[in-house]
Amino acid sequence: MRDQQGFAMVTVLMVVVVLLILGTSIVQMQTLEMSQSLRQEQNVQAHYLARTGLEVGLKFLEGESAKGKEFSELKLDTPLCGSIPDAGSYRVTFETAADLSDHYRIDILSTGISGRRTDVEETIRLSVKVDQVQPLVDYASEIGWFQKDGDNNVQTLRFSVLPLTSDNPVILKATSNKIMTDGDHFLEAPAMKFGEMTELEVKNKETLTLRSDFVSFHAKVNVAGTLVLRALNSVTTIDGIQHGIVYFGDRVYANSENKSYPVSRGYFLFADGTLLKDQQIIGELRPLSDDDPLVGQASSFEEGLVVLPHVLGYSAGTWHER
Amino acid sequence: MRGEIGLLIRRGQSGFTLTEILIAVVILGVVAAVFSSVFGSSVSSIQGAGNHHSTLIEAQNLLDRALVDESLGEEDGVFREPWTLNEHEGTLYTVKLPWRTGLGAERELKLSTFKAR
Repeated sequence: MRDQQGFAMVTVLMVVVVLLILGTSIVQMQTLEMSQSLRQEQNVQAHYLARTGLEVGLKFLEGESAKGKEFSELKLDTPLCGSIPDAGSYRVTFETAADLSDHYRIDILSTGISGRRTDVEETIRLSVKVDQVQPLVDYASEIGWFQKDGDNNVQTLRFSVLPLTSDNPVILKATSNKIMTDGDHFLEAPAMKFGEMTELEVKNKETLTLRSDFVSFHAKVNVAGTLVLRALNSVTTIDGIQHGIVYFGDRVYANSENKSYPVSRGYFLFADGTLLKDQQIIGELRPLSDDDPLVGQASSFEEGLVVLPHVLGYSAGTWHER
Repeated sequence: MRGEIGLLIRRGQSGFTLTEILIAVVILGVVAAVFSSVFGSSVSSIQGAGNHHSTLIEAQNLLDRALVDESLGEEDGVFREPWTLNEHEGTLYTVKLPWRTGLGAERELKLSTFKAR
């Protein structure tokens, strides 16, 4: 019986230990539950930040495409970064896939980082299909407006007795960044756009006639010969004379950079048959202010000449914590 | 003689047992009090975590809807403001919803995202 002394104390201590273990477990569970809940909030916020990055990435691509840039001209090396106050930040990078016969693919990788307590990241990948041209736009090189066996340094317009025509807007771009005449040429299309890096040279004693309602030159133009602007369907008629719109993005020279035409950068309304010859403008070339409705009309022409990306859809979203 | 010995043994046993029981009761009482307090606060804290979780799901749904439903406004907890990110104009959508912690304190849950124009 004396050996049983202290048995009650042992039992109590065992109960106390069990209760302590139970209590500690409950506290740990509670702490875990709360931290998981807060972590979940950060995960969700990181997801929305990643979606924000996708929006920015897509708009960037649309903006670049709207400038008429080709796939190879897109500058996708620099990441796009930004932040939303009290929420976190995002980082967007681009991965390009090889030419997939009829289109290119760009993967936008957007990472949202929510850092309210500890940093939590989520990365979403979005594949974007980029078509080189819209179906209703022609490239001059694809519709035979250039000589096939031309010089490597210069793209030369194809000589033809008959006008070279297209029912679609035409983009004139040269791999060598320069298009040159070879005799007299007559080009006709609803709209024509000379690429951003494409310089046009009309050689001495040669005539280039462009019959179109909207002509856009983004690089410099060198008119040693004669450039004739003809309206096709006419964007407006003034005093019975049809007019079209022309955009000059750079200077217009006459054979050398010391001689230039009195044309500044911007949109102009030209009367049908206006000539640029010998540093003179014969006809009418009236500057258009930015708020002129005709500039808006010119913009709609340009929209018809852009290459827009088409979203394929989301691929599997992945996320990881940092 | 046998009766005296038996009395001594019973007396010795009863004295120790009473002390033991008193100490045991005190220890158990203290532990039970602490345990019930911890248990109570844990339960309310877990309730708070549950509140937070359900508010988070509600906020997520609300933000997804707000991106396509312009009729949702500040009275619903949806806040819109013009915003520009990387030179792209658009709208910053923020959802703010209150939630209650296990101890009854009111907190605010915020989720934000951007939609370009």
